[in-house]
Amino acid sequence: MSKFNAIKNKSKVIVASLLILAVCLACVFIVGFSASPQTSGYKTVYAPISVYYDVKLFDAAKFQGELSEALGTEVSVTVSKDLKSSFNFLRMGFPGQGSVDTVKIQALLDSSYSEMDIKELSVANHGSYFGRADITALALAASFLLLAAIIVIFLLVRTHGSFKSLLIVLLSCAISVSFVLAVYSLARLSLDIWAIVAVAAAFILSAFSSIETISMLSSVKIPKSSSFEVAAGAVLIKNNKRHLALIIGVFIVAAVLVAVGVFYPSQLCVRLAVVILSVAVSVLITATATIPALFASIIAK
Amino acid sequence: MKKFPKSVVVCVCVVSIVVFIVGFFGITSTYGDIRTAKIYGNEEIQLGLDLEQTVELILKADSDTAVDENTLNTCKAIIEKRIQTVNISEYEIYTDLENSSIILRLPMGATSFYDTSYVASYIGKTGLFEIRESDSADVDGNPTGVTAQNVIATNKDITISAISGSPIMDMFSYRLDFALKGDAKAALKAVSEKFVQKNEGTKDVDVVSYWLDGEKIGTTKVESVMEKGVLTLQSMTISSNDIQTITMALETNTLPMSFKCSEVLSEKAYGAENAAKALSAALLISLAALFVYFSIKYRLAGILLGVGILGAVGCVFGAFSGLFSVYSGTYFTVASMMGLCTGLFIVVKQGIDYCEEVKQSLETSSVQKASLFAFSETWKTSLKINVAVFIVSLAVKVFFAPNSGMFVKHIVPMLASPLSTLNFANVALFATALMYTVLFGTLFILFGSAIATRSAAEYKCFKKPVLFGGNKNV
Repeated sequence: MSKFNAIKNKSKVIVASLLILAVCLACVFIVGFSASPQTSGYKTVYAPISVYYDVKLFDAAKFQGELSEALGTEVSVTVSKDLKSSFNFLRMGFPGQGSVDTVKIQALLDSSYSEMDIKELSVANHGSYFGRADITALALAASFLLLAAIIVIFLLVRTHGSFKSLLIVLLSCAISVSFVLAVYSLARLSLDIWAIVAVAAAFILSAFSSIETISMLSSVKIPKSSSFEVAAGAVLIKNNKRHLALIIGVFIVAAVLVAVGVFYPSQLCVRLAVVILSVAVSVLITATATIPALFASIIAK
Repeated sequence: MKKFPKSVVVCVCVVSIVVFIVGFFGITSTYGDIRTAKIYGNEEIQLGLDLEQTVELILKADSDTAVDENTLNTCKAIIEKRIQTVNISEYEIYTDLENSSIILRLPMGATSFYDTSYVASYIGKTGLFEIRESDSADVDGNPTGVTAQNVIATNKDITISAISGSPIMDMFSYRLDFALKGDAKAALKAVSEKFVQKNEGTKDVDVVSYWLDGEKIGTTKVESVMEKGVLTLQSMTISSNDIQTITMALETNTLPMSFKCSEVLSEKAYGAENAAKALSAALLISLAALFVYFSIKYRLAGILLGVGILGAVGCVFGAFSGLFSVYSGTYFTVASMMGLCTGLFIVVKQGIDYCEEVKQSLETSSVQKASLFAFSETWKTSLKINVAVFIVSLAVKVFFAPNSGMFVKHIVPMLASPLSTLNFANVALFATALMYTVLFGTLFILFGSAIATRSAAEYKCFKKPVLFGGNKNV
């Protein structure tokens, strides 16, 4: 048995774990998210556009900015078509279940967009009793985490049935998830389905990477002339070299996604790039370097 | 050292490239403006609501008074069940109490396999299916006389025991076998006895008629006493849409009121303009860039890793699109995309581990030995992880499967509102993508590229360690 598995000083490990968890929790609590129409259920205001107005002239992004500023809330604006009557509609999505100030919307449309000749606004409730978009996102998050936890436990029971291993894996996962959330917060991105899948992916990949690192650390054979610290350090360097190759690959893919996203343009590609980059970096930092190194140094002392 | 067949490397490369071309691009023929897919490619993949233009149906209650919350929720549950009976798993459904409406969102694209106008026209109908005595009707088509008075069976008394169809000349004739239960069975027996007694000694034959939402759709002649409660409707005037509507009506309850589709709005997916085209382009460019990167870093081993990735990606796309049209394929959503990315991250990392192990082993051994050693080092651990991921993904996919999964069938009905309204389709889609990627990744990236590297090492021209990322001076 290597020194890693034979550790006796549990108190140091527990103190270090608690400290890391406290940092993670603080990170998550500090994160300030704004709700997105995808995750909070939403109301929609439909505004029928006059047949004489050419919708190609309408700048939805500009109107979205103006409306968001006027109402002080996030709004998504798109032009829809009624396939039955062939009429065009302005579709304004509002997150949450509160009331929508249609008078203000009408006033803005009348003053700045009078050429569209909008006569009557109608409001529809989407997901007023926890619609699918809202609840699926939450269910998705919970299920992904459940899936990840099942995989982690399955693997741990099969390969490393120790409490310490489980602790390290869960800590790695917690830090990874916090890192992804922090990136989302700093980039001021809404908590939407992307954030949730990013969190799930970070959790799963961190679990795998840390299991692999632990597996390598567990099998460290300490030569007589060396210490555990030196031997573990060599293992970690080897491990990180491999992850570096992977992370360069991820950077290449992210760069391509951003370039394609700007060229087409596709918001989806840019968001995907943010997600995979934040996930990959968080996995690299937490699961393959920081946490195992921290534990290796604690054990060595 | 034992020889390894040289042809393996060629076979692996050819299979991987062919699978990628067929799975990703598909095979199509074009006649004028009509493009027909012989083998489905990435363009035929059914995109989910979050990636594709959608159609929003606003179903307004056909009622003068406001509909209460409970009734609207009951109607929503029935409409949702109807949507599922026509095999649509990707949808969103909401109730709008203020407007007494139900809002239904469905993906609308060339790849969607259902007829939107059919869904719009039938989904909100009451769905009352009746079998009546005789077939007398007035000028407006409403039942009259004994037909109006005597209803033999309605939805709850009827099950469809068989549906078949056969071509007759240039027409198509459908046959539906109905089985009647309980009181309806006795009622049919009584009516048939009455007809037989009435027509004894004459050539006259009476009929029973079938009515869907007050409209006559067919009749069946009654020539003998029907004790078993079995009726057959055969007609050339019934369309496949009628068959679907009857099935839908009998498998779900009747709606307490009918709903009229007041608006059919087409909408772009939220933040997903150009999604399909941009993602396909990004995937192709990324694969090319990774191919170049791995080739530079690990040389021949890197090239074979890149080829393995192509094979795995081709197979995953083939599985999603439904290769050869044998299997209907799976919806591709943001969750599927993340499942694909997560799976690729896992298997490509294992491929990199293999290449690194080869590179390291080359410092002390020959190319053949290094490739064999690297394979034995990485295969066991990677296989364990991949098998675990595959089993868990499969279990999650089956458990959360839309419409038929154990979770939807047995657990959701036990949940209280609002949890009972959940749709877990995306969980199953994430697990499906992860499962496919890990399965094909193991086959092509982990196993395929490793045996190809071992096979390449048998060629005299590839014996130099430097060709596999080793040091020049070794």
